[in-house]
Amino acid sequence: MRVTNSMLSNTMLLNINRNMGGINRLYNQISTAKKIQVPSDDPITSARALKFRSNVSDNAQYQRNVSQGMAWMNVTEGAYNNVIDIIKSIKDRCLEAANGTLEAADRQAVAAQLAQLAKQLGTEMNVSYAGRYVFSGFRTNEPPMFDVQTDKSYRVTQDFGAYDIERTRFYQKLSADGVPETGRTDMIKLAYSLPSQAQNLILVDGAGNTITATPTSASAPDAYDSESLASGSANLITETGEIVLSSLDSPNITSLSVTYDKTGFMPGEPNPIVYFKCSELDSLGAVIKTYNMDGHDIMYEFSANTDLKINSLGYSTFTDKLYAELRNLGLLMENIPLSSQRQLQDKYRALGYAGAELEDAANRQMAEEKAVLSTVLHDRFNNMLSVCDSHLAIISREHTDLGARMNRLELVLTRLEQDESSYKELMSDNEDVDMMEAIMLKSSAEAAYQASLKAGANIVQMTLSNFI
Amino acid sequence: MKTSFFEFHVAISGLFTAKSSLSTISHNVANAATQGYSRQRAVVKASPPLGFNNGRGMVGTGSEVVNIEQVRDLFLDSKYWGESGVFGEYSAKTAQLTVIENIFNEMDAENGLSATCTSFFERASDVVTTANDTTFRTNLIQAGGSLAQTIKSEALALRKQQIDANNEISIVVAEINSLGIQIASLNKQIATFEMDGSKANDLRDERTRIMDKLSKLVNAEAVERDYGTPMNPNDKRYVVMINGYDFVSNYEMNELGVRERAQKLNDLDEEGLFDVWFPNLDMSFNIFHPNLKGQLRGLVDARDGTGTGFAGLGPQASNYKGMPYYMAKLSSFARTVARAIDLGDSVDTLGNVKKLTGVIGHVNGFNLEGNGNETGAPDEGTLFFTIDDGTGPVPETFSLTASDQDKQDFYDRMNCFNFIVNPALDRQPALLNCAPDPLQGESAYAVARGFGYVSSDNSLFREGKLQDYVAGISSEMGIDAYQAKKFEASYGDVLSEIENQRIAVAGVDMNEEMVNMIQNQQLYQASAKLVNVINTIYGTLINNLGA
Repeated sequence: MRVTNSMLSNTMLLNINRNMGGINRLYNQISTAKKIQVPSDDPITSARALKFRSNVSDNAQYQRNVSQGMAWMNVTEGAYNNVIDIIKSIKDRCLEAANGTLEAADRQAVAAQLAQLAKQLGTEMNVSYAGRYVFSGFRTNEPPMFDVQTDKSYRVTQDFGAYDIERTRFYQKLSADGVPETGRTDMIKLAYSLPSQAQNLILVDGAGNTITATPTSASAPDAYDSESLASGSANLITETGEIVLSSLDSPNITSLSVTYDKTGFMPGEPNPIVYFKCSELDSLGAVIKTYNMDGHDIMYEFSANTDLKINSLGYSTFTDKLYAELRNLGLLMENIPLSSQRQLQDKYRALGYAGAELEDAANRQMAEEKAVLSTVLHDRFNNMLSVCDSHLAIISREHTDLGARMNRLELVLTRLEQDESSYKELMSDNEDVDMMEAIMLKSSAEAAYQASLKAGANIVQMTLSNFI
Repeated sequence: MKTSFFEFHVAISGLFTAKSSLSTISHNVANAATQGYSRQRAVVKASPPLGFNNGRGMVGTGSEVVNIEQVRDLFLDSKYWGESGVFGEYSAKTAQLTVIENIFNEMDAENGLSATCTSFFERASDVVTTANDTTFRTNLIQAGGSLAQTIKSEALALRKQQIDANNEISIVVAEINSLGIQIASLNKQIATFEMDGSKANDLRDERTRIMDKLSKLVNAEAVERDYGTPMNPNDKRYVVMINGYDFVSNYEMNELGVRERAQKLNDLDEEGLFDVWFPNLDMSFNIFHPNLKGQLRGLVDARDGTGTGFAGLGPQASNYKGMPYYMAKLSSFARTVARAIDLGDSVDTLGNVKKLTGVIGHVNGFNLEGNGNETGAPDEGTLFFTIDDGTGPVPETFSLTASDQDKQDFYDRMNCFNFIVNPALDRQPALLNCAPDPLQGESAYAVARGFGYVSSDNSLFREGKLQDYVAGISSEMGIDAYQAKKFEASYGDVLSEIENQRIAVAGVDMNEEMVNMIQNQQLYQASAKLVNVINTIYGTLINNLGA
C-alpha cells in the first residue's frame, strides 16, 4: 500500500485526538469523582446508580420514620410506667382500706387519695408528643380526658359484658338514726353520672331484651336492692351513673349495650369520642356526626410494605370501667351515712332508755352500723382490688406489647443502618471513581499523548525535500 | 527520409515533456494539502517513430505528453458515500440525544425526574407520620408541584428540541439543494471541457468533494452514464440519486423543499412540522423510507420517532425513540401516577382497570374538615393532580360516581404538558384528603399511606414499579445515546479508513513527487545538453563545411 504524507498527518491527528479524548474523559472523572457524567457514558451504571440512589433515599426516609415512631413510643412507654405505678398505689390504698375498720376521717382521706390518683391517671392519658395526644388514635387533637369543661352533647353507647356486672352489697340507711340495711346489689357502672332527666337511656342485653331503667336517687329506699327489682327493670342511680340490675336478670345477662345522651362534660371526664362509639348531637338532639374508635392503629412505614403499629389507645389502657370504679368508690366513701353518737342517744332517750342502758343501746347500734359498713366496704374494696389486678394484667400485656414493638423497631433501625451502609457502598462502587486508578490511568494517558505529539511532530516534518 | 534539424525536434520534445511533467508535479505539490484533491500524472509516450525508406528500422521522434490523468479509485468514492450516510445519521442522532439526555438530567441527584419522584413519596411518608400538621401537608403538595413541574419542563424542553430538529431539517434540505445546484453547474462545466475527450480533473475532484458533503446529509449515489454516439463520443451524463429519487440529472436539478404537515403524526407534536417534497414535481419525499440515511434520517428519527411507528402508517414510520417517544413516556407516567394517586387504580395495556392494593385514592378521601372537597358537596372528591390545558376552568374535583368511560376520558386528556397539581390544594393545603373516613380524626393518614403503595406497586407499569419506569426512561435514552455515540465513532473510523484508502491511491506523496521532480529536472537538463550538442553539430556542418 502506498503511504502518503496526508495519510501520516491524518493518522497522527486521529491518534492525538483519541489520546486527548481519553485524557478528557479521565479529567472529567477525576474532577467530578464520578465514573459517569451522563447516562450514555455507561447506561448500565447509570441505571444502577438511579436504583441505589432511590434505595439510599428511601432508607433515609425509613430512618426518619423510625426516629419519629421511637419518640412517640417512648412517650407512650413513660405513660405506661406511670399508669402502672398509679394503679399499684390505688391497690395499696384499697388493701389498707379493705383490711381495717375505717373511721370517718380515714374514709375521707382514702376518698381524697383515690380522687387524686384518678386525676393523675387522667393526666397520664393526656400525654402528648409534638402536640399530639398519643392515646387518642387518629384524633390526636382530642384529649382522652377532657381538660376543659365543654357543653357538647353526645349520644354514647357503652358495651358491658357479664364480667362487668359487679355483684356486691349495698349499704342503705333510710333515716338519719335508723339501722343500716344491706343486701345484694348487681350493678354496672356508666362512665358518667347522668342527671335524672337523662334522656334516651336504652339498655339492650345480649339476647335482645330491652331493660327499662328508672332514674332513681342514691338515697331513695331500695334504690340499690337488686332483689326488689322486677325482671326487665333496673334503677339508674343519677348521682353516680350506676345501673342496678334485677337479680332475676343479672345471672342471664351475657352482654349489655347501654345508650344514653349526655350533655356537658367536666374536666377529667373521659372524652366520649376517644372512648366510645358515640354521636355528637345538636341542641335539638339530632345526630350531627357519628364516631367510633375502630381501626385507630397508627402505623408507620419502616421498610417497603412493612408497617408497624406505633400507638396505643387510651380506652384499652385507663379504661372507662376503671375510671367509673374509682369515681363511684370515691363517691361511696364520701357519702356513707353513719349515725352519730348524739343522734343515737337522742333516739334511745326518746324511746325511754336512760343511764347505762341508754349508753348500751346506742353503742350496740353503733357497733351494728359499723359492722354492716365494714362488710360492705370490705366487699367493695375487694372488688376494687380485683378490678385493679385485672387492669394491671391488661396494662402489662399492652406494655409488653409496646416493649416488643419498640424492640422490633430497634431491630428495624439496626437493619436500616446496615442497609444504608451497604447501599452506600454499592452506590460508591458503582458510580464513584477509584482515584488512585484514575490518576494512574491519567498519567499513562498523558504519557501516551506526549509521545504521540512528539513522534508525530518529528515524522510529519520530514520529506525528501529536506535532503535535496 | 529525415528532415534537417530533426534532432532538434527530438531534443526539444524532451524539454517539453520534462516541462509538462514538472508543471504537473508542481500542481500536485501545490495541492498536496487540498481536501479531496487527487494526484495527477502526465502520461508520457514516445512519439510516433519515422521509418527509413530502405527498411532498416525506425527512428524515434522523442516523447510527448498525451494526457494529464487523475489517479483515483472511483469504487472507493461510492463506498465512502455509502458509509458517510450512516455516519451523518448517527452524528445527527448523537447531537439530538445528547440534548435529550441533558433535558432528563437523571444523573443530577437533586433535579432529575427520579429525584423529584422520590422526594414526593418521601413527603407522603412524612404526612403519614404527622398527618395533622399542615406544614407536612403543604410540603407534600409542593413536592407534587415540583414533580408536575419537572415533567412539564422536560416536556417543554423536548418540544423545543423537536422544533430545533424541525428547523435543522429545513436547513439540511436547503443545503442539499445548494449542493445539488453546484453539482449541476459543475456537470455543465465538465461536459464543456471534456468535449474533446480530455478530462477536467480538478473539476471532477470538486464534484466528488461536493458529493462527499451531500452523502453526509442524505443517502446519495452518483453514476456517470455514457450516452456517447459515434457522432458525439464524449456525451457523459452525471446523475445523482438521493434516497432513491432522481435529484440531479446532468444539468438539471429537482429542487427539494419543505412544507408544513397538514396533520400531526402525534398528538403532542408541535404544530406544522415539516415534510419534505419536490415542489416542482408535486411529489413527496418519503422521509420514513427504511433506506434513508444521513443527517436527514438522524433528524427525522429524533423529531418523529415514536419507538413503535405510527398506527396506520405501517413500516413507513420511524420506530426510533425520538422526541415523541419520550413525550409519550412522560405523558403515560403523568397519567398513570395521577390516576393511581387520585382514583387508586391503574389500567393495563388491555384496558382492564385494576384496583391498587392499599391505595384509597385522593378523591375518595376526606380533608381536615371531614369533607371530600372544598364545598362539602357530596359525591365529589378533590383531585390531587389535574389538567390545565388552557381550555376552560381547571377541574378541581372528580365525580365519585364517574363511569369507567368518564375516568378513561379524563385521564386520556392528561399529558405531560397539562399535568399539574390541583390549584385548589395550592390555595388551601387543608383540602388535602388524608383520611379514609370523614370523622377518623386529624391524624388519619390512610390516603397518604396509599401514595406510598402507589410507589411500591410492582405492576403499576409494564416495566414494574414507578421508579423502575423512570429509571427505564433514563436508561433507554442512555442506551440510545450510547449507541449513537458508538456508531458515530465507529462509522467515523470506517470513514477515515476509506479516506485513508482514497489517499493511499489519490494522495500526493512528497517523496514521490521529489523523485519525479529530480528525474524530470535531469531529463530537462539532459535534453538541453542535447540541444547544445546538436547545435554544435549543426554549427560545424554549416560554418565549417559550407564556407
